[in-house]
Amino acid sequence: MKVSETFSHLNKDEAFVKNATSPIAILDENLNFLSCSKKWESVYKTPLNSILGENFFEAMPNFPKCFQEKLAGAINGESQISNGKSIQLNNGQPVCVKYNIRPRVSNKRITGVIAELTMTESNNMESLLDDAQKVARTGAWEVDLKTNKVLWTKMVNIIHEVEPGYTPSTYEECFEHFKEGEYRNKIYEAANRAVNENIPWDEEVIMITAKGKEIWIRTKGQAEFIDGQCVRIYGICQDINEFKLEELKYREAAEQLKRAVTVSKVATWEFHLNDKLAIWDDTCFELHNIDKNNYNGSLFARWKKSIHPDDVDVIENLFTEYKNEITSKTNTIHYRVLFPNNQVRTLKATLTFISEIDSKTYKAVGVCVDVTKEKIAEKKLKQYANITSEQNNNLTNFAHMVSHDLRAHSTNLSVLTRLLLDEKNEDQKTQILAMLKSATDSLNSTVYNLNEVTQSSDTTNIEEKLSQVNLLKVLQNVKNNISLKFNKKEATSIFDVPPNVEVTVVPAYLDSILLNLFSNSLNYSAPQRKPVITVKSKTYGNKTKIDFIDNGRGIDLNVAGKNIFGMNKTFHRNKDARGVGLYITKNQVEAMGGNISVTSKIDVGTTFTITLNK
Amino acid sequence: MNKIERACVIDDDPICVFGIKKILKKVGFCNEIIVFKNGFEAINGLKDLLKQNKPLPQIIFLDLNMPIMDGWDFLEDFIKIPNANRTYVAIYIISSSLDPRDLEKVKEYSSVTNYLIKPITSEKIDTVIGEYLN
Repeated sequence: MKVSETFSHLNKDEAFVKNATSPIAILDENLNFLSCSKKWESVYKTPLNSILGENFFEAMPNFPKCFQEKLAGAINGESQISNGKSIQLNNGQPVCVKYNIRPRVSNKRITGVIAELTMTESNNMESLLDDAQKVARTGAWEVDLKTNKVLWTKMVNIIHEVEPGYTPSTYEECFEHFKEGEYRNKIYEAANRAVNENIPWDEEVIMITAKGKEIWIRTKGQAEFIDGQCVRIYGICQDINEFKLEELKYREAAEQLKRAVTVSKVATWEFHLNDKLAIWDDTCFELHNIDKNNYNGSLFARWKKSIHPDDVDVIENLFTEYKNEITSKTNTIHYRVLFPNNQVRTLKATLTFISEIDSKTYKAVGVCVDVTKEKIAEKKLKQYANITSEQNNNLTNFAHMVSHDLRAHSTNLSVLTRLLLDEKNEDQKTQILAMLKSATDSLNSTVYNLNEVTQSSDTTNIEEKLSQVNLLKVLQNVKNNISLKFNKKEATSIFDVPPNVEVTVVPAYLDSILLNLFSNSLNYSAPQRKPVITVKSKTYGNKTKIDFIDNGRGIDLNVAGKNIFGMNKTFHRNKDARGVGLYITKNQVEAMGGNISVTSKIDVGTTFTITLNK
Repeated sequence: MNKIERACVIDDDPICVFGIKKILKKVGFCNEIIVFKNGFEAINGLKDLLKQNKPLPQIIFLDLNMPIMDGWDFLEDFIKIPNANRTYVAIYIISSSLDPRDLEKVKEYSSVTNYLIKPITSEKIDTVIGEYLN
């Protein structure tokens, strides 16, 4: 077939197709090749003479049958145009086809199709870029400074929450989306610097979307210069709102933590058990009273030196226990640190052990705080709790004692009066009356004792009642008051008390205390010997110790010991109610800020030791 | 009425002892009343009875608050007396104590039959007789 013949069936215009710069094919109504451009020949490697007259799908075996529709569409008068469509060739290769398929018209009749088919290696890159923009919420923009034309990619519009087709129409309008004030000024200046000095920018700022939402974006931009003239600026716009808010939240939290740590004086430290390396923060040095820049030897050695000797072992044991897997991973320990002037502070350390089994390295990390105040408060609280519990116990006992003792008397009185009413015998009546008298006397003395107990327990305004008295004078006075009993028992007394010894007491209390001790010694004297009472005093600093020694029957302290000063045992019907008496004595001594103790040996004697303030 | 042969009162309060004796005599409670002033005297006295081959008292009225040896200590020592008849002895605590701790403590002593709160009246003694006969 001759070439001239080949083209005889073509329109005049179609002859020019030959030299078109894109791949173009001309097919007849049966989709057989009539012609193609040279470009087609080179792109699809199909020399014209080998395909002329061939059916499109036979000549181009890789084109999938779905193209039939497009070609048929054109033959039916409908142009088929696409800027890029992903298809898979019959050999499996994915490609992107850009096509423009139009009906071929001659003499007002469709006589075939003219197809321009450009194949690129699939548009995956483009769609990937599109997807990436979506995922990264990043768009690209450009301002042509010569025309002031602005280009935005779809994502920029999405971020700005504006219509898809919108772009700013002036240079100034580009900046209107940034939040007025600080942020807008910042970007405006950055853009000016880029245009004038070719300095790129990268900033995180707040913008306001078309829907009025404030969001954080990252904006980057740079300029393009041609012949020393800035022709355009371009860059990206990224939505970083969620990330930025998280970051701000985190920063605030971190800042708060830092402030809290600084204010609360919490020290942090790390210690490597293998090589005894210690890493401390400044607060830790402060809490241990160690000069950070001036200590001898290793920090670990210096640390051990700063600790109360009793507590060093406790800590070392903990480390050993951990290595031997006896103790748990997290521990809280308290230890004392020695400060100048015999001051001791208590630190509370919370630590966690971290071990790397493979490398056999062990370390402890933790925090420590000064809990001295809390420790002191805790100690005081415990003391108060003890006092309260003791007082509460005393109160309960007291209440029961009162109830018991008063009931004992009232019971007796009621029994006796009933008997008296029933009794006819005069002698018996006299006997009952005598008992009635004794019962009322007992009741009297019980009430008196109870009153004493109540008063001795009351320490309010005790300071006002305190005064200095001469101990020897008081001793002689009290002895004189019970001289009758003294003589009756043929007792002697030895006062080994210097005449100038003064004690600060409530005078009535001291009288009562001494009277009680004298009475006890006389009442419980040993039957086979005459009572000898020795009182000695000795002064230490601002305290005076008084020993009150007798040679009486003695008390079995193993039996009575714990309760000798208590109210637990009441001997309510003994005229000299010893239980209550010593309880009152103890209360009176303690109310004056002193203390009392007792030693005794059966059949040898008893010694009460009282310490009072000078 | 089956008269009780011997009753025992352990109390340091002479007025109280006087009152109980009067009432026991009035109701014809028993033939003999023996009195001890504290737990220590009572333990020794009861041991003496056994030595003389005399039976233990069938009923003991025991006060709690006493000098030298109180009621509690008496109860501890009483169960150590080696005599099989001891288990037939009914012990009644007589006390003016309303302390719930005392009432609670009494329950720990199986040898105690009941707890009587002073004053001891003839009505209370009637109850004791009723219980004893049962």
